[in-house]
This record gives sequence, C-alpha cells and structure tokens, in this order.
Amino acid sequence: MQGPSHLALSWFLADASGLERPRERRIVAWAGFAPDIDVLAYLGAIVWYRGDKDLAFENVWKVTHHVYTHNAGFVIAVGAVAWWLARGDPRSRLRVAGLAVLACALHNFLDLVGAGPTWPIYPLLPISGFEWIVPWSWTIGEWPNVVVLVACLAGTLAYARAAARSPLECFGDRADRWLVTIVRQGSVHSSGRSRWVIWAAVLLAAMAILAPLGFNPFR
Amino acid sequence: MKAESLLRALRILLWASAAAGIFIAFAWPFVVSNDPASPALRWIGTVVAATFLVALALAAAVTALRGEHRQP
Repeated sequence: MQGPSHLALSWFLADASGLERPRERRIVAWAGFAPDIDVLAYLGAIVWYRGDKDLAFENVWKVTHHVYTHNAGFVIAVGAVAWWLARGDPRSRLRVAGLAVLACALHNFLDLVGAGPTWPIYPLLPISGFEWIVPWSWTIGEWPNVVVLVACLAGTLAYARAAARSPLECFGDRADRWLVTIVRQGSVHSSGRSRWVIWAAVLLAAMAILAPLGFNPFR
Repeated sequence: MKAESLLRALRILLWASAAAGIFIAFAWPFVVSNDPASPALRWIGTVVAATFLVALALAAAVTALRGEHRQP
C-alpha cells in the first residue's frame, strides 16, 4: 500500500481506539508508517548514483526494500520506541506501545495483500529469512490501492471538518489546525513563509503518492 | 448511548480483523499452510483486509458524528 495510506489508516486506528492525546495518536500513526522508512535508503542511493534511478533501484531498492523493516524484529523494535516516546502512567504507555505494535504489524499484512507479488515480507526475521508472499497481491497502482488512497485523503478532509482533527496531526498541531480552519471556514490567514511550507508539503505529498505509481513528468 | 454501543462493537470488529490480518502475515505459513496460491488464503486475506478497512471507516464516521472533541 502507499505510504500516505499507511500513515492515515494508522492515525484513524489510533483515533478510533480512543487515544486521547495528539502525541499518542502521532506515535501510533508513525509506527504504522515506520516500515516504509527504508525509502530513505532508495533516496540515498539515488544521490549516491548521481540521479541514476535504475542503478539505485537495481543495487539498493530491489535488495533492501521490505527486508530490514517488514519483519517481526522491526515490529518489536517499533513497540519499544513507542513505549519510550509515550508519556503518562505505565498503563497508558503500554496502551500506546501496544497500538503501535498493532499498527506496525498491520502494515505488514496490508503490504502482503496490497504491495504486489514481487515484494515479500519476512515474518521471522531476524531468526529466519523465510519470505512470505502471495501471488494475488494487488500492485501499488491497482484500483483497490487507489481506492484506499483516495478514501484516506477524502476521509482526512471530511474528518477534519466533522471532528476538528485529522491525520495531518502527524505533522504537528499547527498543520492540523491549519487544515481544520481551511475545511471549516474556507480560508486562513497565513504568512508568506508558512505558505511556502504548505506548498512544499503538498508537493512532497503529491510526489509520495505519484512516484510509486510510475508517474514521471520528465519522461 | 446507542452510538457508544455501536462504537464498541465496531472497535471489537476492528481489532478482531486486525488480529486476523496479523495472524495471516506472521503465522499463517507456519500454522495453516505454506501454499501462498491457496484459494482459501486469497479469500480469507481479501475478506479480512476489506473487513478491517470498512470497520475502520465506520468507526471513524461514528466517532466524528458523535461530535467528540478531545483535549488539544
């Protein structure tokens, strides 16, 4: 599934599970996104190979994607980090860590079903390198993934309007307040600097969505 | 009160489908069958994923319609 879909679904999972504080929802949402952090290796490889995406794909992305972050060991590590980041009494920290583990493990299931038949997950790593993959998995550009992504984006806007909070909370309270103000009042007063930040965020989000679909405006 | 009960039921469905999904991802090949092309796995995997997504959407809708505003 697309990275933005994982982030939004994990935030909605945290919210629907009754987590009270934005910080707690943020921790769970980013835990659900965390397995896709290996995209940084691909971006680093593109820089290393001076913009040659094919070389970066063959030598780095193809051999590292899913291996180190889509496995049981990574899920446990994410739970430990979530416990460390959570605040409050031990019971609420345990709840946040438990939901973080749930979101991170669910990422693996959703990728098994919706990341395509060429990207296995590694349920037993680091104990065993067993690869688990299903031939009927939806590829990233297939309609079920596109429907989930569009529903997540539409749900973000609708939820911001109805409940005055949204998955944009993952990027900070100010970002969330901005979106809520926009969808509730139609406009917002913002400085020139924050407008640049907003447009940069929109551009990055569009790239994160379109790049895995193979969209390349320079081709 | 009705919304509370509905939300509780949806949360149970949500967590149950999430647990089933995690079972498929981490335990299915060792406990049930190591055949990834099995029609049963395809059917169950798709139903579990769809159930999770629908339960999540409904739980979010009920939470939003309930007008719940949590602390900032």
